[in-house]
Amino acid sequence: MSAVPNAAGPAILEDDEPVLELAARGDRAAQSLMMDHSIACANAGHIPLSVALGAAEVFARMAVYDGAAVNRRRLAGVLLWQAENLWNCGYYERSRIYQLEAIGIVNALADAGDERAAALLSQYAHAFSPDILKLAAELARGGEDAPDADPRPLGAH
Amino acid sequence: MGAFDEDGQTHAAARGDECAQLALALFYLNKARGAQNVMQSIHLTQLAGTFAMLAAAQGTVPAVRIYAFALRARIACGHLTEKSTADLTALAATLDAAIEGKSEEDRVEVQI
Repeated sequence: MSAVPNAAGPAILEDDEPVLELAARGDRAAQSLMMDHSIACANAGHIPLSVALGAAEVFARMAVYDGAAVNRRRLAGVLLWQAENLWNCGYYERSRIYQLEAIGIVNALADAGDERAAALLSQYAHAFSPDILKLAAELARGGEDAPDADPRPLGAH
Repeated sequence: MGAFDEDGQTHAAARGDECAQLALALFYLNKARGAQNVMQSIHLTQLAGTFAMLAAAQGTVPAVRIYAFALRARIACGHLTEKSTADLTALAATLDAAIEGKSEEDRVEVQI
């Protein structure tokens, strides 16, 4: 395997050690704070985007186990950001998987009556190919005969 | 369909299960070692690094804490190179032992 550039560890995320330790021990609020911190790092560019998004993804996935719709929406957002980053780095296949999972989450929320998810899906539907939206919806319903999606990048029309 | 194919251990990790966190770090480290390209390995090592960070932050089992820090250090230094492949294999074995026995501190032979 070749060298891994830009693979700096998430040390900056350990600035607030007590919060990190609480998050590690299963404290939901602390996990949410760590997700916020990771996203802030990604926005600020203090650490490589891949590092910040990796941490944000882990904490977002942990946070959804509290069952709150807002955390599921936030996970979808982190996954889409991750998908865009992966696409921009030429990691197309993985990017498509992240897109599908994110859209599936939002679809499921919308189907369950979450108005904010439905509004977001409607507002940003143009950013995705119709095929990938259809596939995500089918997968969210547990469909097994879903067609292959068009792996276009986010924002492609 | 999910992008996080780790056999359901995330829930345990979210509840604070230290061994699940370390197991996930190993899982993604091993996947990173088999990565097809640099970007894929970066992505997977970030996931591994975050789970290792969580396990290290708890540190209830000294050996696990040491192994997790060793793992993190290696990831942080970007040492996932051809040279370190053998070391990582050894590290994976000691991590496995830590998860199993939780008292394998003296088996740390990996040079950071």
